[in-house]
Amino acid sequence: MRVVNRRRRTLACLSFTALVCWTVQTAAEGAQGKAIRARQSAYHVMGHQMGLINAVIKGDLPFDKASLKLRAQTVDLVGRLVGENFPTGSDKGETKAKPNVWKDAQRFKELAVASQAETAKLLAAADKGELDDIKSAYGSASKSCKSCHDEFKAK
Amino acid sequence: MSDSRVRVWDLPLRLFHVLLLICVAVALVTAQLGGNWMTWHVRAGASTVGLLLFRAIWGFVGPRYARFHTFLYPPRQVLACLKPGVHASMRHAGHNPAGAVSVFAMLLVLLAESVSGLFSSDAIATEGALVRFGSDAAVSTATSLHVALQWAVYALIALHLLAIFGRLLLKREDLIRPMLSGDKYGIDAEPAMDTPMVRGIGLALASLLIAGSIWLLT
Repeated sequence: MRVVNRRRRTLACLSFTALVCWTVQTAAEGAQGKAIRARQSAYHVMGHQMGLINAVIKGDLPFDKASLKLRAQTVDLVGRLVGENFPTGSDKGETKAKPNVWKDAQRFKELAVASQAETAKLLAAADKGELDDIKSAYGSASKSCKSCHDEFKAK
Repeated sequence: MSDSRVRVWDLPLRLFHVLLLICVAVALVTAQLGGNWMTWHVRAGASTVGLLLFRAIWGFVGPRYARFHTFLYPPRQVLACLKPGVHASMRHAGHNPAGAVSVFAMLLVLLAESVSGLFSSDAIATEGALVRFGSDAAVSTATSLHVALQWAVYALIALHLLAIFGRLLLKREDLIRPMLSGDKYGIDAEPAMDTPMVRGIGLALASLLIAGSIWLLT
């Protein structure tokens, strides 16, 4: 009788531990997965809008000051928030972020700030509405995207 | 060396060569520069597709030494060609066996590089013309391939230059001038047909394919 009880107790303990572990791990994975999805969606929106700005610059889409400004605003705004979504541990999973995002966090931050300065200039140019200025500001902004991708994004 | 002069490379082929060099150089440099230069990267890539299509057709219908079957050599001959101390009597009118391998390698790698580019996205603001037809996974794979293959392009360019200057310095055979003027000297061979008719057809075909590629793929 006693032996059976002990076995039951052991089994219960193990099950409980497993349940706790599973819950913690799933929650952690869920949180990291959400962070990964959040940043990828943010970058996707930025890339999409940058592509449309580029299309206007190339003459593939008609120049419309109001919508161009809205696009520049979106890129600038989303770019200011995207950096929140790199919690420790979110280097695992379906991500192209390289490990040095976390190892060299200071450099990553530096490039993010530099990018934000460029998107602010793009927004200012879009606000004025001179296509030549927009083109050069767009060029600098997309170069700042590239310099960060070159260091921190797996291709 | 005798005075005999043989037309080896027809004008369309030489123009193809120079234009391909320019397009590849522009594509490699603009990929590094990014920003507004990416528009030129896409143009250079599209032109490369057009040029390669022209070369593919010219490889079947073009003059003698431009045809692929005239420089398809068995491996034995390729290896023999690489041995030191081969003399002028072993010179080839068209591509020599080792050069032929490097030509096929270059054309295939550039084809893979330019076609993968059509399905690539830089995740900033530039994407290939066919990205809209590919799934996200396919675009991701194509982009990785496109980025990785640039090293194959660099390697083949290095090999190309090494072979040309090695040939010049070690075997005293100038391969550069014939590729510009079209003629090889002191060689006994059938000339390639480079008449106004051939030139006209070649240039018209090449222009059409390049213009079409730029129109459809940029």
